[in-house]
Amino acid sequence: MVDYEKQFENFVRGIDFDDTPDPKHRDKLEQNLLTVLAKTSRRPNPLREIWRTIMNSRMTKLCAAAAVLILVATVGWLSSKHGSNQQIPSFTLLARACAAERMLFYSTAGITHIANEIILYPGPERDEGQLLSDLESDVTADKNIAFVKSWLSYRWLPIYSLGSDGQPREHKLELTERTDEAVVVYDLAWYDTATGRFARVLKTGNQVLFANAYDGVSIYVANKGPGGLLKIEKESVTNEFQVPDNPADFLGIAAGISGSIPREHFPPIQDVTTETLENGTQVRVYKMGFADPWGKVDTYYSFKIDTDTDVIDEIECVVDGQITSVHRRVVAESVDSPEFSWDLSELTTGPTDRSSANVEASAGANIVTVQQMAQLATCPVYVFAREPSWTYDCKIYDLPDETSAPGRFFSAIYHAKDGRDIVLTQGESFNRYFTAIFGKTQELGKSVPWTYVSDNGFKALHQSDKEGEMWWTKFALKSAGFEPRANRVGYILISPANTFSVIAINGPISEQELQELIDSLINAKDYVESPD
Amino acid sequence: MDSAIEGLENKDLIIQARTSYNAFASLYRRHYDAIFKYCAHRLFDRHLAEDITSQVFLKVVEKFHSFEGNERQFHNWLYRIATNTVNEHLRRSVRRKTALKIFLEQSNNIKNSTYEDCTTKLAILKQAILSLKPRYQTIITLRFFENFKLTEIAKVLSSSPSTVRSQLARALAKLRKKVVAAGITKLAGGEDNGRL
Repeated sequence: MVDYEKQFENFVRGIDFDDTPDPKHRDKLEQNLLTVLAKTSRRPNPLREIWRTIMNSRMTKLCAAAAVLILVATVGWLSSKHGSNQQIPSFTLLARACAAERMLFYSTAGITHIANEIILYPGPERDEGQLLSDLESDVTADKNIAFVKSWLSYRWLPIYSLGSDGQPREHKLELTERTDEAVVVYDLAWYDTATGRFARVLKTGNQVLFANAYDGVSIYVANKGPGGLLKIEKESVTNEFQVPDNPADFLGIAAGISGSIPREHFPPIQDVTTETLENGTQVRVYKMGFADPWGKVDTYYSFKIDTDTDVIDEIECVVDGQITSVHRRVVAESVDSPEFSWDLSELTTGPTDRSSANVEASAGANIVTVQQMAQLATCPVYVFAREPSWTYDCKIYDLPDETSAPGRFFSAIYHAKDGRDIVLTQGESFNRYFTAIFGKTQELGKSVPWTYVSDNGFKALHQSDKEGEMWWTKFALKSAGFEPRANRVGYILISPANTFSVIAINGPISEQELQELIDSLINAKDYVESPD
Repeated sequence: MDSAIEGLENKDLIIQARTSYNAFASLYRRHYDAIFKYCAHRLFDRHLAEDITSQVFLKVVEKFHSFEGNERQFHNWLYRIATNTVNEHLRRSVRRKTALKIFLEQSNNIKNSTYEDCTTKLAILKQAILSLKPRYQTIITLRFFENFKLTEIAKVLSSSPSTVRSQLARALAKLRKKVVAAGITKLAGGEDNGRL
């Protein structure tokens, strides 16, 4: 190498330039590429078999709920191992599946017809409210386990529709009456690739449960109202409306998966096996779920993905070891015309026969202001009077607390400049649960080793470094969309009003910083009324 | 990722990627970091580098069906696309002018400051490199940031090693003038030799 080359090399070497790739960009780009690849692929038309569907915000909710709920079980009463044998991020896997699904709609000209069947299995009768009441009356390990497991369980299937603003809407598909037999719901969809018009109808036998359509001008939603009356609502599309680029986002088995869900919200892959379906299709079976507080993974999804085409062939939902639903594709084919008009004019409105299943709008998570949080809360809730100096943004998520209806869960997420993001969670069922647990502690004559007692009446408890200590902090951070760091920390807080909250911080925190955080906690109502 | 796919050699992966999304995703993941870094070194801007990296791989997706070659050729093909995309951006974008203007202002402001400061050196280097012709920028970046051999650079640029060598010499000479003009006299290692 000549002299000036060497000198320049040394000069460059002495300059520190941050060129570290961002994994978030890498993953997002990968998803985009796979979508484009599906669009441009020249592979043979895989329009031949089946489908199955699933959900995304179901996972989000599962995780969100779990984050709030599960941490409850920590106070030293239970230990947990939260591991997985994850080989590939579930997000990546499902993004690929969504891209492959898209191909099914565009691999043929004209109208694509997709028919799925959704089999809903009756599950054990459970009432979280009653289970929590039982726990409150007498805390035992069995009751504790029964409640937390039930709390984490879902007995409905999310169904997605398209709103007049082009945004997806989530609905619950669930059994409406006690039955010993499985109920089969047919999910029929037609999509015109040239115009974006579509019609989708869910039915059991001849009973229409739900429908969603777009005729190029308006969005139609047919649903059963009070008394089983089927009514069709028509809304002209807004200026913002655009038919999603990928019809698989709201039709078919992959609906909802490829939305804007942070990848961290997807449960990890716990196991991968292979099997052959009845029609001879070779599939890989990916078991995705979070370990429960006891280290077991008995609530999960099984995604059966075609080894040749990457499309999802079947999705099985297992709750507490029991199959609660199976979603599988029956047919995907090109047709001359849809069975239902794009404006659903064939549907008969009015009274309908009683059905074993029902679809209703789902109450999802909303972003709220502190003022709205104060108004919605049925118990004292708190925020930081001064946002931590290392954070730059705060969003508060509001979730229904069905166990203590009409209570709400709130998760305040503070994004940090230095990665030490903060998640503060609180809610009515949370209070009831912790009150019971701490009450039992007192009953047993055990003292709580508070980490910090603040002048504003808050007490904080941090568990020592022992097995299972950090798992719920990790869970809370993951649910909020953060990648938990190894040095994350978490505290359980009791307020002056004897309500509970949990704070998870994605990084180390000094004693002074912790004290400043807790000292600045203020009732949301006072925060709103404060002149500052 | 499939362990079977993960374990594939690049050459096999390229074949598999024609028919398997998994394989294509794996191929992408193997090359993403290198291409991003190359773009970052060419543009000195992380966000811009991400944009350009996205464009590069989108072009790869669009053209992949027409690529016929081995592992090494794929590597060169990828860098060629990245080089063309960056150069295209520099030619079309007003950012180059804006960036140069900013860096010139910075260099004027820092002429009297200590040049031992890494940030200062970086600013001057950016200014100097971005003021070169795109082809010279490419050669400098591939040679000094990506540590390519001359023969490798030649393949990326579809040129000969001797041509690349002479262009490298000219690029370095221009750089030396620009860096010295910006006031740097002390180079790495503290040697006050007044030249590059």
